[in-house]
Amino acid sequence: MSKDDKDKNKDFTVSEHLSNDKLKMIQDTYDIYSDEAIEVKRKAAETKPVTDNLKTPEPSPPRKEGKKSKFAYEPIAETKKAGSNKIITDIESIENLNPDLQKNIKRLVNSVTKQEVNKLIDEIEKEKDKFLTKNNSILGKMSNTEKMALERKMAETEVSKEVTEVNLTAILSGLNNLNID
Amino acid sequence: MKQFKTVSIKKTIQTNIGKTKAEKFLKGIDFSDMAAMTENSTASSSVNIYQCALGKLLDGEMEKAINYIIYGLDLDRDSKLLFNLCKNMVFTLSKQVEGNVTELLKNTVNIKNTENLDKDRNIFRNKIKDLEKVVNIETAKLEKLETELFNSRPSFFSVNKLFIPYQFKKKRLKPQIKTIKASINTLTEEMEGYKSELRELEKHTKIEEYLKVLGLTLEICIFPTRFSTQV
Repeated sequence: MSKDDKDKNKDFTVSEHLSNDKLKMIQDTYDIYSDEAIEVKRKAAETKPVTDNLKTPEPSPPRKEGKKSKFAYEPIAETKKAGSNKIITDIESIENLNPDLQKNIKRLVNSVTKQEVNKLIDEIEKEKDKFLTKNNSILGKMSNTEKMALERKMAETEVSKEVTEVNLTAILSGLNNLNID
Repeated sequence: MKQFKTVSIKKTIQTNIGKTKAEKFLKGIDFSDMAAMTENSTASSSVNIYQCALGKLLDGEMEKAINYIIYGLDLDRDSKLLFNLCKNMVFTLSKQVEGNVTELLKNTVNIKNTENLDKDRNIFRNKIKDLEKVVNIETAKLEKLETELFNSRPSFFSVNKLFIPYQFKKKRLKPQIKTIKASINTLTEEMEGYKSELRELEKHTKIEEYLKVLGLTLEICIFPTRFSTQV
């Protein structure tokens, strides 16, 4: 191999130390697969492959024209496009819930449950700042960095009052019907 | 660039509370529930997991709800709904535990303090077993006496069973039967008392357990760096 060729094929993984026979064997194998006309059609939306630094070998001329190989790529018929339904990633009120769940929660919301839920919401509001930051809290003692991280997390994960009511209704129902095995 | 791995809630809980105790909270989700929820739904998976968790809470299956919360938060650490549900549960359960301690000491006769509730629970279970044995023995005695009395009743066709001997027997056996019946009632009442206190105790310890797991989950979500060396 000349020095130019060597430079040209610098980025190949083919070892420079392979004998000529072996190189020829590899080249012949390559020819067979390129003859089988495997074409990859990239859709416009996909990213352009980075080929700037790669030096692809020149494909050898096809052996026979007109012969359709069983390995030839045939594009799959375009599937039916997915509906343009928006994926729900958040729930703002009870109306966004699954209908069965909505029905069960609405059934539970009677005057007694509502009173208990409102009482809990008031307590949550009252103790919002110290419930998690007091020394004997469930999160233990916190450094200043951790307190800031906690504040940030609380701000990021705020939900509507209605969602809190739904949560508390479900939790109280769970406590009242707790299964003890 | 250094890659930071998300701390796995499942592994951290196993490390902190032990594999045996953690097992029941780390079973994951029931895919048939998810399939029912996702049918005709365009919600994201964390929203569906949240809805399934709410459904389990409404059914009284708190353990399963916790399974869903842990699975969902492991899947999507930024899920507001699941995080808030976890937070609300921690708050409600901690209030319940505070209230329960006072109620437990007030409503129960045999629990003097809440320092060693496991020990109290074992004592109650043993007492209930012993009482059940005694009640069974007394019931067998009662049946024997009642059968003896019934079989010695005179009838037109019986030659051996005479009226006067029967009356003597009845006079002897009836007070015994009455005493045994009273004893069985007392023992049954005592047993029911222990059973109801055991139920209260078990409810309290279950809630404490749930609070511990949910508190740990919350801590992992807010301060993952506290646990990054464990995983």
